[in-house]
Formats: sequence, C-alpha cells, structure tokens
Amino acid sequence: MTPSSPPLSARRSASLALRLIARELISQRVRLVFYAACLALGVAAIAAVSGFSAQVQETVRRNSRLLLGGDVEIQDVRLLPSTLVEAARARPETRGLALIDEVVAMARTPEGTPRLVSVHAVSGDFPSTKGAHITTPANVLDSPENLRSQTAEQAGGMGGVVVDADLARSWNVSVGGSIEISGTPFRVVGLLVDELSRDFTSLALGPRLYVHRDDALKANLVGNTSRFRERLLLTLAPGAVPQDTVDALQKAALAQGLRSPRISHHETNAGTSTRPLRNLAFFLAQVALSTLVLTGLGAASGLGEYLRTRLPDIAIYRALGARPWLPTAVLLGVVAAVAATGVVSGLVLGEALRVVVLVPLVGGLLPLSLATDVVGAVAALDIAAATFGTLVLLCVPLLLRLQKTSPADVLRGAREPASGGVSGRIAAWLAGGIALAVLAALFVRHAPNPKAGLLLFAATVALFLVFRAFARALVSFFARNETRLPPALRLSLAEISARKETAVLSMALAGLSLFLTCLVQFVKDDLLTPLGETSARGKPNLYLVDVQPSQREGVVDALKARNGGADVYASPMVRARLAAVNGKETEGRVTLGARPLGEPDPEEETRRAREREQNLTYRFTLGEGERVVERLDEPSVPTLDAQGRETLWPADATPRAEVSVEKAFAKRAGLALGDTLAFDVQGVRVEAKVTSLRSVSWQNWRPNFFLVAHPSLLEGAPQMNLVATHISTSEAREDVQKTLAQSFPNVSVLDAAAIVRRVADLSTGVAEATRFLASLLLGASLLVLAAGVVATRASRMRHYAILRSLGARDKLLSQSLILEFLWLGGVSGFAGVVAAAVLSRVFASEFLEVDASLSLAPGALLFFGAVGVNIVVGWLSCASVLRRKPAEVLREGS
Amino acid sequence: MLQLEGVGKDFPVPGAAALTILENVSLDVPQSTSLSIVGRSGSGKSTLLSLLAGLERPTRGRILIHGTDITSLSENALSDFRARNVGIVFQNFQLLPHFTALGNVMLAAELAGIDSPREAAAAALSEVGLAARTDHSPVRLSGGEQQRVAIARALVGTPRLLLCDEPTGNLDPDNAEHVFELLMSLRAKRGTGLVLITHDAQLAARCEVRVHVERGRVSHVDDTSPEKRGTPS
Repeated sequence: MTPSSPPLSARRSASLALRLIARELISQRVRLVFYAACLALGVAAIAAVSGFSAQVQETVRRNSRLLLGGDVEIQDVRLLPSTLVEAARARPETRGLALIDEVVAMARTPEGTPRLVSVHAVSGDFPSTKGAHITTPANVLDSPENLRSQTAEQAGGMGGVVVDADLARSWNVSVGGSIEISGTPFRVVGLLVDELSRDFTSLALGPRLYVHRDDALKANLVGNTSRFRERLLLTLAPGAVPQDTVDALQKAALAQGLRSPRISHHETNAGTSTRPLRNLAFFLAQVALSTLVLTGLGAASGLGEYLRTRLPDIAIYRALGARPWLPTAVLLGVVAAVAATGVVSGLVLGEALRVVVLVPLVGGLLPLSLATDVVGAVAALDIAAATFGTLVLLCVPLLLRLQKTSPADVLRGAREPASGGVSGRIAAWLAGGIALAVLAALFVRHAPNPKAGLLLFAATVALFLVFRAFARALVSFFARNETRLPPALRLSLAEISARKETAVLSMALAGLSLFLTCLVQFVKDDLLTPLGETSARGKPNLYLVDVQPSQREGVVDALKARNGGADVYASPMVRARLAAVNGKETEGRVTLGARPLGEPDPEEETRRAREREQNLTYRFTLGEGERVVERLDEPSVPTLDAQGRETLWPADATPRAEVSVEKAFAKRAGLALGDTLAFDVQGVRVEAKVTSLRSVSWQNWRPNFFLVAHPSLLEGAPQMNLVATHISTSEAREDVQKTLAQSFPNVSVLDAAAIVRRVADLSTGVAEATRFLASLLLGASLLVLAAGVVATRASRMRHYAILRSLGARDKLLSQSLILEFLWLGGVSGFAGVVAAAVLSRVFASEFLEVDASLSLAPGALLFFGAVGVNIVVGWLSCASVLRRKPAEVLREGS
Repeated sequence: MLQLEGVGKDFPVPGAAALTILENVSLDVPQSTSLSIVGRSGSGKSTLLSLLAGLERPTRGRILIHGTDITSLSENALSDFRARNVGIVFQNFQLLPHFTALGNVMLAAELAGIDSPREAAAAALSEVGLAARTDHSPVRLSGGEQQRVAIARALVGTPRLLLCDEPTGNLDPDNAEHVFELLMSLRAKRGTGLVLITHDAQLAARCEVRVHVERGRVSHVDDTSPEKRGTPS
C-alpha cells in the first residue's frame, strides 16, 4: 500500500519552514533579542568608526585642492632656487604660480603682549582659490597687491598686514591700526576671520598673519629663522593631471641637483597632512574590530547554547514525520534572522553613535566642517556582510551535528548532539578557519599596513584566549575544591559550572573590556603627567628660538634677571641636511613626495628620519639626564669634566670630525656606531663619524638634540641659539616676552604650558573615543551575562526550589546570587585592570620613555563600577526566579 | 497491518563487541489490530517501538507497515511515511514546550499535509475534551491533559498505525484509566492499528494480541482475539 497523500510540495515545505521560523522567533524572542543586541553593539562600534573615517576622507577629498590652495605644491625649508620656480612657470599646463613664505616670529602692539605668530608672506598669483579666506574687508586677500596698494596710499611706507581676527581682538587692534613683527611696523589692512587652507594640525604655533613677500623680505623675516618654509603653489589648466606635473617637476629638480624640495599634488598632500587623523581612525578601527570580534563570539556562543537546547524539539519534529532537513532549516533561519537583526540594528545604531558621540569627541581634530551628506553606514557594509556570514557559518557545524543526532536517542534522554564524526570535525575546523580568515582580513583592511593589522588581530585573539584560559582555570579550581567552601560560595560556583562556557565567555569579555579601558586611561595619564608637571623649577617652560650668537648673552642675562634664580639653558643650533650615510646619498625629499598615497613603504620611518631638516648642536659635555650608552672606541682614560662627570669628548683643542647620536633616533634613522655621516650645512659639506650613542631623558624638558657634534666641527657654522628657562607664573612669562620683544624682536618665544594644554585636549578626545568603544564591549559582556541567565532560568528555578525544600533560606540564595555575579564580573575584571597596569608600565618605560608613577584610582573606579553593574544586571535578571514558590516549580517539573 | 521478518538490532559499544538488543523478531499482525508488547525493563520494547516508528533502522531483517517496506525507504521517504501513516504517543508526552496545545497538534497536521491544519487540530483537541485549553502551553496543563494533547497530535493526521510507548506510565491510576480509555475508543472509532508498549499487565490484557519480549526475543504471543489472528515467530 502507498501513503495516503503525496509528500509536501517544495513550496508548501518552504512555507511551513518559514512559518516555523516565525513561531520559533516569537517563542524565543527574549533570549534571541539578547544575542542580536550583543552583536549589534559590536557592529555599531565598527560602523561608527568606519563611518567617521569615511566622513573624514570624503571631507578631505572634496576639499583637498582648497586645503592646499592649488593643484601642485613645491615646498622646502629653504628658499627655492629660481631655476626650479622658472621650470614650474614654464610648464604648459601651469596657469598660475603663488609663492608663500611661512615663518614663525614674534608680533606685538606697543601695549599688547607679544605673541608667537605664523607669518605668511605671499606674492604672485596668490590666492589660487578665491573665497578660501573670509576677511574683513571682504576682498583684501584676493590679491597680494591689495596688501601693497593700501600701504602705498595710506601707510607712509609701512607694509600691510592681515591679522587673525581673534588675535586682533585680544590686542584691541582694528583695521588702520599697527603692529610690529620682529620689530618691523606693519599697518593692519584687514582681519582674517576664517580660512580653509590650513595645516592639519591643532599644534600650529600661533595665529596667522598675511603680509606681502616683498615687505617680509625688507623686514628680514624670510629665510633667516629656525622655522621657515617656502611653498610654491601651481594652479593647472582644467583637465591637466596633477601627477604628471609632479613627475615632470621632480625630474627637473633632480636634473638641477636639487634633493631637498618636496613636490606633491593636492590629493597626496591632503593624505599626508591628515596622517595623524587617519592613524587615529586606524587605531579606533582596530579597537572597534576587537569589540566586534568579542561581541560576535558572545552572540555565537549564545546561539550555540540556544541550538543545543533545541535538540529535544528536533527529535519531536522528526518523530512527527518532518524531513531531516526541516528542523535544521528552521534553526538556520532563526540564526540568520538573529544575525541579520543584529547587523542591521548595529548599522543604524553605529550611524547614530557616529553623529552623537564620535564626531563631537574627535571631529574637532579636523579644522574643516565634516561633510554631513556622508552615510557612514555604507562604509561598514562589507564588515556587516562579513559578520552576518561568519556568524551563520559558525553555527553550521553544530546544526549538522544536531541533524545527525538520532531522534530515538534524544527521546530516550540523550541531551548532547552527536559528535558528527570525522566529517563533523572537518566542518567545524573549516568553519572556524574561514571565520578566522575573514576576521583577519577585516583587521588588515582597516589597518595602516598589513603587518600592523595582523599583529593587532593576533593580539586580540591572544588576549581573549588568555582571559578565557584564566576564567576556565578559576572555574575548574573551585569545582575541585568546592566541598571546602562555605555554602553560599559553593552554590554560586555550582551555578557558574552549570553553564561553564557562557560563564567563561562573559568573564573573558568583562576582563577584556576593563583591560582596554584601563590601558587607555593609564597610557594617557603616563603621557600627560610628565607634560603637566611644568611647575617644577628644574623643568623649563619657556623656550626662545632664533637667538643670534650676538644676542645670546643679552637674552640669557634678561632671563636670569626675571626667572627667580632658575637655571638658563642655552645651546647653539646649526641647521643641516643629512646628505649621505657611508657615502650613499640620501634620496632627498624630491622623491619622498612621489610615493602614491596608501602604498606602504617599509622604510618610510628611516627615510623620514634621514630626510627631515636636522638640528645639530655642539659641546663637549653631557647634559642632565643624558648618558653615553655605547662608544665606538672606549677611551683608555675616561673623559671626565671638572666635576668628575663623564663627557662626550675630552675638552682639548684636538679637532675631531665626530658626532654623538641619540639611540632611539639612531634606530629610526638606521644609523650605527662607525657610520660616516655627511651633512649639508647651508651648502657646505661636512663629514663626521658616529662615535657614540646616547640615551636622553626627554621628560626633564631641557633642550637636547638627536645629533651632538664635536665643537671643532660646527663652531664656525651659521647658527642660532636655543635658550630655555623656567618662569613660574604666566604673568611673569608674559612680562618676559614683552621685554624680549622690545630688545630682541627677532627672537621667538614658545610658552610650553599652552602647548601642553593643547596636547592634553587632543589626547583627552582620543582617550574618550577609545573609552566609548570599550564601554560598548562592557555592554556586550553584560548582554551575554543576561542572556546566559535567561537561558538557565528554568534550571535555576528548579535548583532554588529544591534548595528551599531542603530548608535553605532566602538569605543564602541571595548571597549565592550576588557572589555568582561578583565572580563573573569581578575576578576577570580585576585581572584586566592588573594586566592593563602592567602593560602600561612596560609601554611607558619602553616606548614613551617616561617614569611617571601609576595612579590606580581611575582603574579602581572602573573596576568597582563594572562589578557593581554586573551584579545589578544579574540580580535584575534573576529577581523573579527568587520570588517563585518552590511548590509551584516542583509541581511543574513532575 | 504489520509484518516483521527476522528483525534484529545491534548497538555499537566502543572498544567491545556490539550489543544485541533485538534478535530475530518476526510478527505478522493484521489490519486494525490492537497489539501490546510487554516485557521487563531492558528487554528491548522501546527499541522495537523505535524501529516500528522508523526512528531507527534494524541491523537485520525487514519491517513492512501496510505493505510498505520501511527499511528500504530513504530518510526523506521514511519521514513522509511517518508523517502520514504513523502516530506516536510517548510516556513523557514530548510536547513542544513553547507551543500551545493547538500549536503542538497543528504542527503534526501540517507535516501530514492536511489542508486546514488549524481546524483539524482544533477538532482533534475537541475530540479529546480539551476544546477549552487550546491556547494553553503544556506547562499550564496537568499530566493527563498533556497526554491527551499528545494523543490528539498522534491522531490528527488519521494515521493507520498508532504507536504508544508507556502512554500512562507518568499518570496516576485515575488519569491513566481515562487516557487509556480515550486512546482505545478513538483508535476503535478510526479503525487505527495500535501497538502499545507497557509493563502494565492489565493494560496489556486489554489488547487483542500480546507479544512478550524477553532479552531481545519474542518469547511468546497471546492472541485473545476471537479469530486468533496474530501468529508468533
């Protein structure tokens, strides 16, 4: 005989499967929502960061030409040769040339406090883009000639200057008034309200002033100061390819034997200039990805536990005649629905977090208004898809095992799925391997370079495994010793052991989130504490640059008269370029700007260290906090000064072509003992051998140099002096600046306290952003915790009912509950804080080279806060369980 | 209704010889018969029921249900066959805890391909006296009520064979009697064959044929039907 009706058609089967999926989602909605929420937090973290990154990149891309002020830039720290300027002018695609000299100088009014300012001396076709400057009057910066023509009519010979509006307000100066720049008077012809073509750094040394280049030359501002940069901006014809112009100009520069100019176009320039912000985005992306990995693990683990609890249902389905694939398809559908919900919610939440949290916290690092029409979530779609696919993939091996489990065994009482055999293990390994590969690829894609990405991925996995192993060891240890423990403790650990995997995961997440949060806090404090200690008399907080040799004595005397007896440190400073190492010419900045943006350069750090303009000094002695760590030839007699302290060289008249290099700089620049360095000192070639390496304690704030030459090498070279001292109050420092501005108008004064404040603001923003991401991780750990509690409600109720029937009081049960969540959040959280403290110590001493003492108060606060929240969440999740009457529970179970 | 030909079942034991649970079981049971399988714990009764339900495959022999050799069917075909031809009632009810009574019965109706599963389920529940409890989840039903839902679920697809594994094992005597009466009356009404696993001699005696299983073998068969239709191995 044949079955009474034909099998279900494919359409009806599919329809049935969908209905069953819907029913399952509704009936299990409470616990499934937890898993989706856990996943959503991780996706939100990366979506917020990716979206912010995309927003920054799009903003910069749209404004790169505006930011540069032209299509192509040639810049150097010295005056550009006229031959190169003419080569640029002669290019057929060149439509305009603007020359801008940027110097740092002191400016003042007769009554006002001298201020360090950034002077831009302009000429030619400046500005390349009309409307890039908002000024009063509106058109004053539309042409450099506006600066001159006004002076010719009004100023009686004085050059014209456009002054930063905020600075003018602080000086109480308006259009028509006058100021002095390095002792030369200028007439104020306009106020600068805002502008777009600014450096991408919040550490600019002072407000901007614009003058005509001819007037700057007359005032001796151009080319004679320690911080000088000349920029030639080219405007190209429409349709011209900037990279072609860059290539041609680089060839021309090399043909002229020029190695120092840097030539780039607006896109490259914008990329280079935004490197700090992009690196910050990379860092945040790595933290966010770690958050995603861990929350994804939480969701996967929870879903795995949920699937295991479906085993009896699967057996019943099969007993009723469901085909083997049907329950599997239903559960796969549930997993996919949870993953999709988590991912989509995460994208939406991430977009909100980007706008509400990230942009306010770190958006200020970009001096442009961020583009608001960028949909950040689009930038995270690849991650969202990868997350969805990986989560579903991770559940497939277990689903296959569930499908293979004999329903008869389950109906007889088996509660574990079948092992799956060899094919099951292969499937599990394959799924895990693919998941790891996808995650590693995500880390690499969002890192500055593949090596950094892989390293961070490995570090995240390793950290998680360490915390997990620690948690498992703890659970196992107490399980072995439980009979020796008091009842409340024993009960709490029994509950943890009953759901070991979820408990271990929850503990690992809690530990890792506290570790990340505390690490950022400790490193930030390590960085800022020494910076903030500007009150110590031994630490200079006022630095004077561009002090001419003839002015040195007078400046030192002026400071000594006002610094309350603090030490004054004066060092000669010679600017030079490192032309060759061991006879091999350094490449020069001409080709430095040639590398396409984003193409990794494994030797970039070395090249940059070598190609930068070097500041050398010369002396025999070692400074405070400085010592020789290695010498090329150990002298037969130690070189000591009159006080018995070691010196670099004997203080005799023997000329030595030798130089001492700071060890960290030597490592960066790829220099070693015995290397012969050739320096170009204002066109004169000078060679010196590296005969010692030094270590320098930079946190004492005393002026020091990467390169210290023997006096005989540089004594006669063109030089300026760097002078530093400590002046206690800001009023006294202002007074000193006023005095110096009158007597030494060319000397620039840097107040360290202002710089420290700005660094503190920057690092605070970064730390806040990282803490925000770590808080998402903590939130996920709480969700995993709550989901685990929800999943075990029934068994927990039964346990409590049995305990009550044996005479246990409410107090004992409450105590065991609190202890249980204390373990879950407290133990690994404590381990996380300790690990962060240890790692931050290592980082501070090895990388930051600071000795700041650790303040554990923030860590303690975070720890107790996290534990408290853990206990509250756990308690709230279990409160109803404690209220159930034992008789009801026991009757239901019978 | 049911033919077993030399059916045997071994279970593998890691590191040892396979354990034989059933050996050379042969039965020939006509249509609409009520048959009980009795024996001590561990005699192989539940295993025999699993084989009849197609939840496990015999190591040796053949099983024919209404002429269909279920041992030769593919997994999908076996599932389809079970959905349409076999109803199972378990000792511990095995209801889906997060479905209502109606949901549990409706699921079986859907798998059986019934066109109006909801109506059929409601009717089945009404037939077992639970029309007022359709929206209740199993946790809100008593043991007897849960077993009646299980019976409704087993019968909603009008199977031709009903397999019951200790259906009253978890019930008090009064409930057990009611449930068993219900079972027998519904089965008789539909002409459904019945295979009942029980260790309760009184319940077993109420079936027409009693198969005694001892150490995996059929020790003897009592056929009390007027026609003596059952034949032993």
